[in-house]
Amino acid sequence: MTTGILPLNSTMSDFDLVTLASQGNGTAFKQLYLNHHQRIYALSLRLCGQVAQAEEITQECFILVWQKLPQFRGDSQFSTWLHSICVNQALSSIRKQKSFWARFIPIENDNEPHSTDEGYQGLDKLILLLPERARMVFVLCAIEGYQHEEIAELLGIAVGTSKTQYHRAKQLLQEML
Amino acid sequence: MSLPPRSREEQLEQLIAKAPKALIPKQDLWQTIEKRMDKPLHPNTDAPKQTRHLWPQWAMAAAILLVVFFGYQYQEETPRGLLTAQSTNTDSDKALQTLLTQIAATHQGQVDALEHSPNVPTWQASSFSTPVEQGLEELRRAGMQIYQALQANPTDKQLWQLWLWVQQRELDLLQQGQKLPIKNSTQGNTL
Repeated sequence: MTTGILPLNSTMSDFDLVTLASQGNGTAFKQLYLNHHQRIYALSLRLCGQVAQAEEITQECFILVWQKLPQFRGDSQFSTWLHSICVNQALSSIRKQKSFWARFIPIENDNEPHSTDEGYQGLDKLILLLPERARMVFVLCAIEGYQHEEIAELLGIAVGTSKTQYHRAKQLLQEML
Repeated sequence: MSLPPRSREEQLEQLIAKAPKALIPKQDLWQTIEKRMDKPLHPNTDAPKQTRHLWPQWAMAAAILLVVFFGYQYQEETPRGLLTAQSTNTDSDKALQTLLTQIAATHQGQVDALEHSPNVPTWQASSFSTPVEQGLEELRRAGMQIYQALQANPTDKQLWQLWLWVQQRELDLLQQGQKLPIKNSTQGNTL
């Protein structure tokens, strides 16, 4: 990895940073990380509902981005590309963890929310209490702006199921208020 | 005091709108990322693609070559192996046939020794000699047939066992015949 001493700053565009990072410049990549990691962490945490897993997803996501940077052609914005990688990474991680625990606990109770109080405020505190599928659909739809068709494809569920889970999540959240 | 449904819905909408797009992780995640970045190098986008496309073809070609090579080797080795096995069997048969001849000669020596022993009275003088003679004759005939069969097939274990058993019975019968009481006992016989 080439760290290189370059006049990098937060004002450099993602495009320039990506160009440098794809050439092996670690400093440029760190700047990309600093620019985007909080956004990625928020998305990861809201999707998976656990701090430790969210941290792992964030790290895995950026490592994957580092490896795939040469493939980024700039057809879309870097943030959009990063976002899609993060969503896929998060969903993959959730599935892996789910299948791992499913070996020991055959029947998963999807209705049981994560009982966690990590000190988050407002909506995030409530989101973490939602059941897994309802939470994922709600986050993708209400916060990230995905269409139900896109969510259905990502999660491998029917569009109707996505809509149902969304309304369920909203009802649960309203009851929590 | 619980809020009315309409108010709750509005409140939720407000919370969604106000939800921060970014959250700060509680610990530094960069260090782990930086360590992991050193391990994998940037993949060369073009070369691996070609390798990925080509390696199944190479694997297939290698597999076919191996199958052809070993198949040819097997075909080459099989007749040689058979010939070797045949020659080994021939040598083994010859050794067994030699052994067969030696055992037959030894047995014949033992029979001769028993029949012409000067210290033992001739059992043919006994009144029971006829059945013994018949038994001996049958045993010798059987022994000869088995001997001939063994010469043709010296690896037959059952034949070997039968032949040796017949030989032993012949010797036993000879010894028993010599213990039979003598008919027409004369002084000259015992002298």
